[in-house]
Amino acid sequence: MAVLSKQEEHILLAIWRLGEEAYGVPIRKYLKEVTGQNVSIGGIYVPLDRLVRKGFLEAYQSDPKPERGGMSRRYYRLTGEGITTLEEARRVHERLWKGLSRLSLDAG
Amino acid sequence: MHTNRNEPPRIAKWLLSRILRKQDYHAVMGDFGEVYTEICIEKGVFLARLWYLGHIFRCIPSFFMNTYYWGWAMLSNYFKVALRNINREKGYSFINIFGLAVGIACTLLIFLFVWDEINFDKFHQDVDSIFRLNMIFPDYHLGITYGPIAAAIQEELSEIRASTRLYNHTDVVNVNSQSYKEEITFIDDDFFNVFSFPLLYGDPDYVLGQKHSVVLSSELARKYFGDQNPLGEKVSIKLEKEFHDFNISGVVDKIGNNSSIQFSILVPFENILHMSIGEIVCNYWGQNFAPSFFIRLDNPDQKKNIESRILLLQKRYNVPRGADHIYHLQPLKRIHFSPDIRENKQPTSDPLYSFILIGLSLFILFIATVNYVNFSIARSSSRIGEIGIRKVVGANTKKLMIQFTSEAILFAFIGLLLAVVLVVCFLPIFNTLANKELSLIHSLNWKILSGIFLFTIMVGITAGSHPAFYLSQLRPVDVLKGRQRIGKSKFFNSTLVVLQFTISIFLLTSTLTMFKQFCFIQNKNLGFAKDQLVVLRVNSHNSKVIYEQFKNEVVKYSYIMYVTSSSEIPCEDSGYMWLTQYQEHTIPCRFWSVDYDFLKTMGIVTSDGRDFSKLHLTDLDHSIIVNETFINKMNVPDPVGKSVTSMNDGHTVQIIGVIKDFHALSLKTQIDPMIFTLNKKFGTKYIVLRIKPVEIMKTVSLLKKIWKKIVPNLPFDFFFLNEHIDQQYQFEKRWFDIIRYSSILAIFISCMGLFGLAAINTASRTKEIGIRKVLGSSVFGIVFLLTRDLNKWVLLANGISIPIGWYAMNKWLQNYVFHIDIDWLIFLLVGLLVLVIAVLSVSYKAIRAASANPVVSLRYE
Repeated sequence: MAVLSKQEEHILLAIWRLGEEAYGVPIRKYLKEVTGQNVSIGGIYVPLDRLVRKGFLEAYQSDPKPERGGMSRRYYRLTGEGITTLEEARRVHERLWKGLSRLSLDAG
Repeated sequence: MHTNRNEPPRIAKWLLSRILRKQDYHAVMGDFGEVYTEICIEKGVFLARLWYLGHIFRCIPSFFMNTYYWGWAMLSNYFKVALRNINREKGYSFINIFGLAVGIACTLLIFLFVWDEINFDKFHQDVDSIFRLNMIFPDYHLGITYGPIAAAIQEELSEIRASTRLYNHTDVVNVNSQSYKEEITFIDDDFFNVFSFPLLYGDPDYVLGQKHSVVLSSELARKYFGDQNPLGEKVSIKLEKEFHDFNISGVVDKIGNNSSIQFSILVPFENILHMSIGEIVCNYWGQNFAPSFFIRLDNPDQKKNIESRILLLQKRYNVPRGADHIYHLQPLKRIHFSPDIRENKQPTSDPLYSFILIGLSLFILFIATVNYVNFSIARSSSRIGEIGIRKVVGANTKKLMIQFTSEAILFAFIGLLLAVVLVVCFLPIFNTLANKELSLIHSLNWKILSGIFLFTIMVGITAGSHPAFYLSQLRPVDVLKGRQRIGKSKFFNSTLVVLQFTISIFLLTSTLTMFKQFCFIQNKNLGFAKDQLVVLRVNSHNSKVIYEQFKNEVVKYSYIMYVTSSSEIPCEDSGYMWLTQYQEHTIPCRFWSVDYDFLKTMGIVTSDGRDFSKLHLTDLDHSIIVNETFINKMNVPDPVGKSVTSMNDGHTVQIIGVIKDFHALSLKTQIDPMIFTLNKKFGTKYIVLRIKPVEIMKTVSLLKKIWKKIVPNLPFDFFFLNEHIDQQYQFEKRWFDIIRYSSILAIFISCMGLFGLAAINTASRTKEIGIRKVLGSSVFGIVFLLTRDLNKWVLLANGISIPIGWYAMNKWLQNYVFHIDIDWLIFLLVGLLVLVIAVLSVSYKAIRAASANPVVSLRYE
């Protein structure tokens, strides 16, 4: 089973959540909202490419949009393998967290 | 407008489009655009642009890192491997590097030469607006202007910024009671406003303008006064009859060799009127004594306008023979390259020679490059393992091509280093050959340096591109399995070798033909005995008296066989062209005023009639001797006793003798009809003495002593006629030397290449040779086998180069009216010679391989 990096996991989740609207700009915006970190727009293409190559994502072109100066968008959606991998990642997370109380309470 | 302002910065967009892969372009550009618009709306255009730019520029470093980090690592690896290869194969590498070095060195030398030529005269300010006024006649151009027109232009055309006449005259200069013979240049006051010669001493605005002030060149100032400041010193210049005193008002800094205008003393023009020719120079409509005339305009576009103004002037002045010529302003910077203009007082060079030199150096470089190509391909078997590993590890064809090209570039740069050393060593020799004062250090600037740098890279790419292509296409698996034979010379390689030899043979045949013509010129019987003739130039208005006194003294000594005088001398002056009438024939001929014994002194043979004699009083004024060409023009069987009339002065004279033709000019020109007379109307410019061939220097010093006794204030100006005659072929000799050296280099580098190629070829066939020997082949048979290809190539090269060489040499020989015929023997000889040299350079290896014990060669695995 392939192991996802944290960033890849975040991106896959973002795309999953955005559904039909998953392309560069909203992906970045969502990640920024959730993580609070400023992701540079150039910075998300490399992991996106990698995920496509690994087979977790597939990309498709929209029709050219006049509001984008006649340029098309590249949308992403999860493949079956992507979904399985995400599910697997979630299960790992849950197993890891299971039985642990909240860290902040422990500390407090 | 609004939408425009909303566009992201253009430069950033452009950068982004360069960096992006094509398939990403739309998606990424679009996304960037969207975010940009968003920021525009939220925070304003300025911040949005800032954001956009920031993002783009931030990604550039990483982009380069990604592309070149590995690129650099690989590059250094390529160089390391290349250096190892050089080290491993010292012999071939030496041939390669040495060949390239010689080629690059030749190109550098020629480049310096051509650079100097191109920049000829460019040191003047506004050189584009400086012109010389030429006269265009239907058949020829003259680099001079009729004196009266020059004066009229100076007077009437106020839109000319500055102008000056130039007239050269050779006379005597006395300084500190020493006398020297110098070339004096008469100039107008505006001289320094037309040309920009920097002054060592004196103020350019004031040095001229007074009748008795002169300006010296720095060489002359040093000759007269040493290193001290000569301002205010006096010189005394003889202008035809009398000496005139002048004050030195300025000294011009060293005039470079690359100036058309050369001078040693500048004298204000009005002084020319001290001489009898002065009147002619200023007011006479004749071509013999016209000055050259230079004009500086405010800007070059005025040229057309000025020319039409001059045309109007010409009409108004009603110039005699004015209809047949027009005036033309020739830019100063073109003067150097117009050798076909007659009466060019400024020395010129034919741009053709620059092209020939460029061609020669490129030939040599080409031959060296061919060596590199052939070696690389022939040695490819030794690289096959490396290529295989690289391909397996993931190098693609492009990477391999980069590798092999950069290797060639490395070779070129090592060659360049060696070439610089060669240039420094051989520059003095080249300077003598090309008659230049070139210097590597003085010509260096960043433009030239980067030019050399680029050129070397180009040489590397040229040499490396074919091997790179070939080597990167090799498929190691095939080669190792024996499906593809490598190192086998293909069509392309043999074509290159044939070309190499075609060039070498062409150069060699040219050299030999030129050499033969050169010997022919030097040894041709000129029609007079040129050895043991001493000539004195008598530069005085009473030269006739001086001659008589001198003669009376000299005849007392037995060292001197004959003394005579003449108005002309072979290779120096050819005499004025006068028209002579005989019945209905008009014969243009050259008049020489000579003295008794002229024929005896010169060793000229009479073919009919008699020499001048003191017994016939009429000889003094009414008798002439003519040459055979003259008789041919007269077209009569028995010319002696016939009378001819000179059309210039109406004088009728009688022919008393005919001499055999002799060459009064170089062998490039025809022999003209000539007339010799005792009448001294053309002057007594030369005293000619035939001396005994013993103690020549002693005789000369004796002559000098006598001369100083008779005319202490004139310099003793003498030369040996034979040396003088040889000097006129100096130009030919220089070119002959240049061609000779380059053909030797070419053949040498070609043979080195052949030697290397043969060595590689033989090595790769060691096994074959062994087997052949075991099966009973003789040594000769094997040598023949190994050299068969080569013989074919050289013969083919012969076949190609013979017609080219024949054509080129025929063209060249047409320059000479008297020339040798093209000698087929030379072509045969060169063909054989090259074949022998080529076979020898190959045979060395071949014979060794053939005579080796086959056991050794078969056991090598």
